[in-house]
Amino acid sequence: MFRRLYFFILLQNSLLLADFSVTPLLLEFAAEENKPQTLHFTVRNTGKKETEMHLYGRDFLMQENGQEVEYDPKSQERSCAQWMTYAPSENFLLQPGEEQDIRVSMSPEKNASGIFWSKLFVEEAQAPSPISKEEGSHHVQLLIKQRWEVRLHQVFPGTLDKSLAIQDMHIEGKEDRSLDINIAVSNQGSGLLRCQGALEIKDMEGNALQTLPLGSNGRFGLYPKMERKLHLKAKALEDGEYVALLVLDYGADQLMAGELEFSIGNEEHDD
Amino acid sequence: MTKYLPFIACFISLSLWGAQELNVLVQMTVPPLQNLELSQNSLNMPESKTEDFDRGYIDFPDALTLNISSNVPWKVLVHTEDLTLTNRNPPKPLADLLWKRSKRNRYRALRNKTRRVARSQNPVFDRKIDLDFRVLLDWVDDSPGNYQTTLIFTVAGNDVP
Repeated sequence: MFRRLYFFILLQNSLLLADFSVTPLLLEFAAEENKPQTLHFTVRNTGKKETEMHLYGRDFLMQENGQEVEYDPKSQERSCAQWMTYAPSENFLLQPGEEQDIRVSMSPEKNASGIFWSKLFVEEAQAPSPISKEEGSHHVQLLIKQRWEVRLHQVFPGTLDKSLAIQDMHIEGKEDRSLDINIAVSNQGSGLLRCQGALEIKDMEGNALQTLPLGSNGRFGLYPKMERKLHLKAKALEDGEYVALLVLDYGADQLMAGELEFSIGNEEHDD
Repeated sequence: MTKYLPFIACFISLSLWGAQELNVLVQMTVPPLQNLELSQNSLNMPESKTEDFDRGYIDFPDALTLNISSNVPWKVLVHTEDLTLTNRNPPKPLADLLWKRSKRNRYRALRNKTRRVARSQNPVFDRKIDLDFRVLLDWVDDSPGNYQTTLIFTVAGNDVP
């Protein structure tokens, strides 16, 4: 009887959700005279079961489409994982409602400049247990885990130069008279660019017909020496000549702009 | 009358004191906060039947709901660290498991690289994201068995979108 009860309790426990939260999700270290700096984030068990947490680091690179690909820590040229230590560094247990501060310390080297980056992840150490297994059948079970990402930036103030270049701007007309617009920009400086901008389609009298925000609600990020390809779709236009005006605020003193004239209909295309 | 003078003087002085402005500085900090709730931590997809094999897939609509609340820009990603859906021989390829947000048309294969499920530059409270799953089936390649993989949902800031 007691064995059955014990098994039932274990089963119930495995069905409970392991909810937890992490804050903040961005730690920005600014080196001052090359002194080590320590920041922290907090992991809180918001679920109803005791949960073992696993903490680990990953490097990452942003792809041209904005997706980020993870790599082993310390494997990338501009990884700050090489200077990082964190505590606790082992798995830790959190009871419901309990929280744990994670201290992250950076001891950057003296002659570095620009920005370096990496990530720390907090993940449930154990996947949920499978519920049942019926032999001879064909079925798929999905087990689900949560993971939280803390982005780490190590910047060297005074060494960050902001430089953005528009590499390409290409407009392609579709059969339904809508437009595919492809824009490529690259970060040619040493700092992270937080860009904000839109592409405006105007008629030749200068009247704005469509405004197309870039990236996510007009915002996108660009790490140093990286290129970003942005894709926009414009609604159908009547026959005529138009101007596509790209304006980007990338945090420098000046804005970056690019302009392209194009025509719809029988006129010859300039692009 | 004179015996009331001290009380009158006291009343006037108290009134004057009460009329003075006192500036009280109240400070509070609202930290960046996010919360993700999953409707369940495991999903048993329906057992595949003959008609599912004939059709080439089995669907599991609205199988999982993510509830996200955030007071800062956010995104949710999904990936798996498993290389296949089983360790058996022959294994069922990971690409046989597809997912999509409900009410959207295009399924995406589950991969080892993270893929964005949803994102926003705006704060949200209790935003529900329903997910559909589909498993591709093949009479020749799929032997009977229980297949399994672990999906990892990652919550991240969207500071660098």
